[in-house]
Amino acid sequence: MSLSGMLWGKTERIKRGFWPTVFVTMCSMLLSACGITEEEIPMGRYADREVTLPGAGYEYMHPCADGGYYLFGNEADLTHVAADGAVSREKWGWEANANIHVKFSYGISDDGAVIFGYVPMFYSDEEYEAYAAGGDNRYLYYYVSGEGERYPLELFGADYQKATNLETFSFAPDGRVYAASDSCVYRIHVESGETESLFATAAQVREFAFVGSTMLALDGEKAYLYDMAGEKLLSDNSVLNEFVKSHQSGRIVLAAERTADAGQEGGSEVLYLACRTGLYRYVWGGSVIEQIADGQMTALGDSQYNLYAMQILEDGQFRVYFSGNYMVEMYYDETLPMKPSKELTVYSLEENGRIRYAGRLFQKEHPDVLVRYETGMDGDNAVSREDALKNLNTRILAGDVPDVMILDDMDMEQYADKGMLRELDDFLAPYREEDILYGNIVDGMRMTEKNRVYGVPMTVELPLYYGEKKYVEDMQGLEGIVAGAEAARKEHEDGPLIDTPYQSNLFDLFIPLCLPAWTNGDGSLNTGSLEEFYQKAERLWELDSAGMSEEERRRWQQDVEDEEADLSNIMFGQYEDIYNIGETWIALGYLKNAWYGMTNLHTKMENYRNGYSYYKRLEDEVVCGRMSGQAGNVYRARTIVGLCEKAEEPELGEAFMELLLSDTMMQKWWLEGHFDGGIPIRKESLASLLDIHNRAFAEVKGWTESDINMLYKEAFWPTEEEVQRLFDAMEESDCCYRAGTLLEETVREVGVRVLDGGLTPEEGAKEVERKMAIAMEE
Amino acid sequence: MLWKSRRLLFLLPGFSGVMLFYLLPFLEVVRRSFLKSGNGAFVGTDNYRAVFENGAFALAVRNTFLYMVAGVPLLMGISLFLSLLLRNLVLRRRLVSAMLLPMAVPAAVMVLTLQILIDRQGLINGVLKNVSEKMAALPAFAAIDYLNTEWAIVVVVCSFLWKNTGYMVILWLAGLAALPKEVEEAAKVDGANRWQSWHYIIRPGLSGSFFTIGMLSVLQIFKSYREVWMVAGSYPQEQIYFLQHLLQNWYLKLEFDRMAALTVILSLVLLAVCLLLQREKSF
Repeated sequence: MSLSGMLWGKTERIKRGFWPTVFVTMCSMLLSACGITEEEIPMGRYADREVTLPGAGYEYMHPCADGGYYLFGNEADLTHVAADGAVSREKWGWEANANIHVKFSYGISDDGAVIFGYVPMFYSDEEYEAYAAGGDNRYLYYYVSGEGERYPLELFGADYQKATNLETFSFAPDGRVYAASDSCVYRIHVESGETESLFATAAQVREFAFVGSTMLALDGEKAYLYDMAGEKLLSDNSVLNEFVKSHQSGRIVLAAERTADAGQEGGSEVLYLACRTGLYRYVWGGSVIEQIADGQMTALGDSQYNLYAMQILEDGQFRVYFSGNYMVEMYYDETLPMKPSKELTVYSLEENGRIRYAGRLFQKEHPDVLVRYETGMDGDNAVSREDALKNLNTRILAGDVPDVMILDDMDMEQYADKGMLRELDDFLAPYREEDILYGNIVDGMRMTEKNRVYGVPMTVELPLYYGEKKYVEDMQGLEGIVAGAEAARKEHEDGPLIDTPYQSNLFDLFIPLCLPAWTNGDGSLNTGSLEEFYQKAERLWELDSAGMSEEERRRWQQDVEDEEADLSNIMFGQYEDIYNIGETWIALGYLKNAWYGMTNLHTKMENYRNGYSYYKRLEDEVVCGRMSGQAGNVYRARTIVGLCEKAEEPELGEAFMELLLSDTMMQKWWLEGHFDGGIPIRKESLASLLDIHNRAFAEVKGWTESDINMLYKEAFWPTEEEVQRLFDAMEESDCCYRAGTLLEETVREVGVRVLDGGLTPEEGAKEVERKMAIAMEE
Repeated sequence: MLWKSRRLLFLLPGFSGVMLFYLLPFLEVVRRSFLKSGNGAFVGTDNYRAVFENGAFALAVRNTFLYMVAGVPLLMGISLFLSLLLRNLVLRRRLVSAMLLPMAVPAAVMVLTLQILIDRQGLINGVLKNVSEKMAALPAFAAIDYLNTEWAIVVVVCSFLWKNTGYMVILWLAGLAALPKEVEEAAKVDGANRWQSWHYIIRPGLSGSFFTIGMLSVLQIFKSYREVWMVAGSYPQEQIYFLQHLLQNWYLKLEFDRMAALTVILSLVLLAVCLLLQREKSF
């Protein structure tokens, strides 16, 4: 056989063998990837246990190298907890004599030295003005050594800007102190106050860590590496930078240790990074950051607490300190499966702390279940509501359906209509039989042609007015609101009237009260009602605008933006006004907090300005009541929970919903300080929260505007009659307002043009009708 | 034989891509157009019937057709006219570069510019108001909300022309550059006037470009939806409610079945337009 013939034959043989080989290889690859059976699930993952702290009021934790730690706070003593658990306290309280009013931004060293920023007490306007002249809200600084020597720090330095505030004080292992402003990192010599500028940063550094002779500083956008020995900024670490960039929405806390690796002389430096998504390990200088604990399966993912500090303990354990005086120890549990065998997917458009909290509780009760809480619009990217809904619909289209959906700000009727949501009438039957929930509120959620319930709100908000009796006593219906506002404006020519800096706020306030009245029984639009709404809204806007110039309104809007107030949270602004009745004469809003609403407190503005204040019960001339618009007995549903029809884990979904509607969730969330989450719809929970005989009198703390002095105000709890009034209001609520419908969006969009004068109310109503006609046709 | 199979092998990567990312998904869309979304039940041609009976579909088709009828010939005509003007200019390159700028402008900037121009309190209204105030003979000027009146379609067509003219000019210039100059020069020597040169030499020579530019213009019409949506939202003035609005809104309303049917219909229509233009090319 010739050479070419031999070669040809060989090629043929190779060809014949090629495809079977490929087939066998692919099969074996597939089998190796999918071959892990349930019995073979690897065991072991991080879990956590709560640590009881030796007191309250702590805001800061400093981990010591010996395994102990310090706790400190504005109203707490400096407390040291040794590695063996022994507690020692250093009594503070001398601050008032040193003219220290409010302390913050603490830095503590292993030997108990403390450095902090503070705002002093001002005893006269002159003192305040002298202070303010140095820069608005300028902090002062104080140092207390480990031996107890203490003195104010007069910081100075060639590049030190006195008007900028220093925060994130941190002691390096060698005792040197570092701090950061919003644009620079400094080293402070505490003996002299000399402050050296080390390097510029893009934003405020929030975290320091010391890895060998390198200082690592994170500013939320980037990781800066500084060689403390060579005193120079090192080149960027792309691995860390990438990590910081992809975890911008929450804080990252750091802890470093030197490990004694076999085969590497002197061991290697290891950096641990904890953030909401989990705990990560980075071998210094390496090219990868590995996750060692999933945030969703530990306390790290709990959104109700902010991460503050982390400490490395022995045996691969970690101590993590959070806001709210909450601390956990994370430990590796070999008895837990690495990944829970079941998964419950919960979806909401926006982050909902209550749901994340419930997810944690649920996971504790069901260690074999991973609760995957997904949000359409998380903080790490700028996804619009529409894009988030499109993404959700794409998932649904692909058959990837969540088990539980939080339907706030979504057009839930649409999802119900398309058969995506499960009818809940059967699920709710036991609740109805035992009269556990407010049935009228649940019934208010009925929808579609079938008239079924597809979603249940955990809480509701009730529309409320406060004000001087002469203006608000007849404030029923839109007509009544306009009449009250006109009467108030007649007597008070200056100032805002209904606390709506933007036109959108006016719609936030009144659309929920009227939206249910804009649709006829057959689903068509009631243009007459809509036109009337625009007329009244226009009049209210005119009345509000009559008290201020355009320039004043712009300044007001700017103030609101500077304060970063949540404009959608109407009650926030309204409640301030309720406190400050005297500046405004009518306060309209939504009751989100049964305690506040029913305490009926107010104070006179003149007292507030005089530097002292008091709350007292509503007097005869100031009254409150349930507000109505074109519709009556309206409630705003919050945290509306629905179950998906095609859920993969329907039983788990039901169990999760049971937890959400349980007394634990309805009360606990409140009692842990989330007062503005709405009024629970579970009867016994609300009754328990308003059990006035079991609640002590409280003190409310605040600051005066002019000099930042602290105020202490006495709060009064409601009378039985007032409590009963809230129960009655809950019993009467049967008209649900759900945000996120197309009609509302259209009315808002056109409404702005009406208030701007571009359209008359009649034209506005027609414009909405025209747009809705297309939508109906679709 | 071996040679042929090797040629096919070269085609394979490209064809696999098209198959995987276009043809197979499209076949899935066709399949879904016969099913009911939600439960996946076979419904025959119900979805197609629902689309054709839908009032919003009729409105969207009418508007998209009008937009195309107004926009495509205008774009092609204006860009051809400009390219003929620019053809022999010394500054041609610089001018063409400047005309390409709108293509480089991000959609968000374009929308912002549009809003500055056509808003109720925008530049155009401001200028008109000033003119009317200064000239007593003119009637009092009332600001026009261009995007919410019958002017909306004019605004959309103008922005379409502004954005795409430069690009089309370049395509026409490329077509013109490919024409043999000798023929034109010979015609000129023979006494042909400009109209005759255009009619008998340039126009027939540009028939290939006509197909490409026509097709691209039609596609640009469909692509210009983004700006319209950004400036006027999901439910704009009636005249600028296009097929893409309908598709987008159906997607948000989970009307996947009707959406699939509409996509199939649109694909068939576009195919027909393509064939029509190709036929035109062969003339």
